[in-house]
Amino acid sequence: MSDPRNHDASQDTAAVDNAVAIAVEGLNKTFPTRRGVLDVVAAEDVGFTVPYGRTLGIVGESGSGKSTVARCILGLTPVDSGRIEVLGRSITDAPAKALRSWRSEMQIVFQEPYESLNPRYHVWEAVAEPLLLHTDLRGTDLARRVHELLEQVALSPDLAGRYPHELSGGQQQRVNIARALATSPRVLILDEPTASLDVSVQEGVLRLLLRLQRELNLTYVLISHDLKAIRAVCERVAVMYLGRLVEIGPTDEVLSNPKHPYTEFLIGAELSVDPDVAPAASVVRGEVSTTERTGGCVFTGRCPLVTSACHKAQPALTEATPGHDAACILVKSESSASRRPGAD
Amino acid sequence: MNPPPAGRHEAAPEFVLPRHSEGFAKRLRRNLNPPLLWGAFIIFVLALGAYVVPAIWQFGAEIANPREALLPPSVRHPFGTDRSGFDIFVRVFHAPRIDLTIVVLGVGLGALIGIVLGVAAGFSRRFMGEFSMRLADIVQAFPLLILAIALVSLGGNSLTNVVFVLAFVNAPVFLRLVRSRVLTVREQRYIQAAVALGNSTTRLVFRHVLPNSLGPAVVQFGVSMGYGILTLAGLAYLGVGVQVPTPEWGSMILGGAGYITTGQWWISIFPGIFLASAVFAFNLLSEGIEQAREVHLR
Repeated sequence: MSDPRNHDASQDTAAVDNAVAIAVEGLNKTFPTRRGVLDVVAAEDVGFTVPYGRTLGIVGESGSGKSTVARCILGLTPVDSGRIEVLGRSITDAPAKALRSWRSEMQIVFQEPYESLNPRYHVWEAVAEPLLLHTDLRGTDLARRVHELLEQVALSPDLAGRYPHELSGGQQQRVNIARALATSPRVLILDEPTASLDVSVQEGVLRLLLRLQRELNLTYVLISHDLKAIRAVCERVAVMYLGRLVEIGPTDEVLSNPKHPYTEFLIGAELSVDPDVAPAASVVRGEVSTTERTGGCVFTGRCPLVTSACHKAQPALTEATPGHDAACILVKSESSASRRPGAD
Repeated sequence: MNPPPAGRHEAAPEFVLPRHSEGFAKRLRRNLNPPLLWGAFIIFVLALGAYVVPAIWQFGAEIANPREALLPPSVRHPFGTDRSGFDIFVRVFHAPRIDLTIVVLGVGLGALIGIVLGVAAGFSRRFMGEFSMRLADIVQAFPLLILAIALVSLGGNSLTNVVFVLAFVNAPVFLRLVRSRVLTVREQRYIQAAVALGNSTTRLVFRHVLPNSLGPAVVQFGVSMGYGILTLAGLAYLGVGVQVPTPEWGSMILGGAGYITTGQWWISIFPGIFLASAVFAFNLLSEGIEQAREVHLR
């Protein structure tokens, strides 16, 4: 794949370049458990912006709060505190009815292609539903638009009468994408859209998403734990750990020159395409505990570079290079190279 | 492609317009299956016979002839006669007028109440949920016959009250079934997707949650029909609801039960066969409807 990420950046006017499609600020969300002691912090002080027509990737392990952030952006999960604006409208304090009518402009594609489709709706009904909800298209006009959408996602119209269980995973996800695109939204949240698909199908779906973004000038938030997908699609990437944003910056820079030890670990954990290359020995041990909160940096429990200072306070996102922030106390004092484990 | 001129459409696109916005009836017609057809056929025959047979038969359903009591089956009385000399053949065919009407109304009303409360209980877990579940506990903990007698002594001995008894007894069954399905379905990803698409709560309930929650209730309907006829018989035995000369399967079976040991088997057997076939037909019908509704089974 040639580098499709920088597609029409040059054609964008400066104004459009800077205009913000999604703005998240100080987002907090905790899922309480019955006893209260093991509350799951899904998002803590999360903030970022996504300009029109661009893509932000969010990576992190399972349980890091990626999907929660995605749902909060669309108002599907109420936030505890914080401010979210999509297309200039405040999502966090919007009345339910207004939020519903805005949904034609912001859509989501979920991770589970089959589970996201009503088993009693065949393809035609699924794709036509948002049009029935938000537009006046009926009869032949509706049929034409559905047909057009199916073509847009490269689905044969012959499949229109099929039920979800009669489709392959890739076809199901295309139906989900067609349905999300039906009302010509400007913002599309992609919550691990390729995670449950065969590897052979993943690339097709990613290519489709890139093509659609180019054609329709969509703003994407791509949530994934697949760094290859992030590299292929996103201009910027945010790394989440235990509900906190630990690093955010341009994709190439974050992935080639990570400033946070957790990002470094994530990259190291990625398997190489070359079978002879052994995965990098990782110094990070253990798994994420979603309920653990010590008061210090969230990563102290697993960080190979932990110092006593780390236990004192959670470091804020600090600018390492312009546009590239990381939340680690080592960001300013040392360069990334000398922090690399094993360099000592 | 140029946009079509205003007010005119291009020739219809070359694709088969799929079976879109299919209603329940349409889907049913397309998915007709043997159990559904057989069930409907038996019920139709029973209902038809209830009006045709008494009209053409030489004996009336409610006319006793003590001189011809306890006769075995013969050409004159194909199903024999009982101790009062009633012709069992005509009574067995006449019975669905009472049996099917009351049971369909009673169980239907119960199912309706149960489904409405079940959806409400599944949706608002806090108040409605707890309240209607405890109500269901109370109703179900009550012995059926005492409940029926209490209701009839309060409201008078009428068939309407029997309908209410059946509804009362069946509502909690449907409530529990629907509520438990709604609790599962509402957590499904496609429900969240439907919200994300912009469905209102009303539409969400009627287009997404309810259709996916009704399966067990549809099957239960057939089962409840069968029990309903038996309940009707039990009540008639206690003198509640159906009164003596009125032909009704349950009371005919009970009336003949004592004679089986003395050899007059026909008094109970023939209404028994008809009752069993009605129960069987309702079970077939509900299974057939569920098969037609269930997209996975096709």
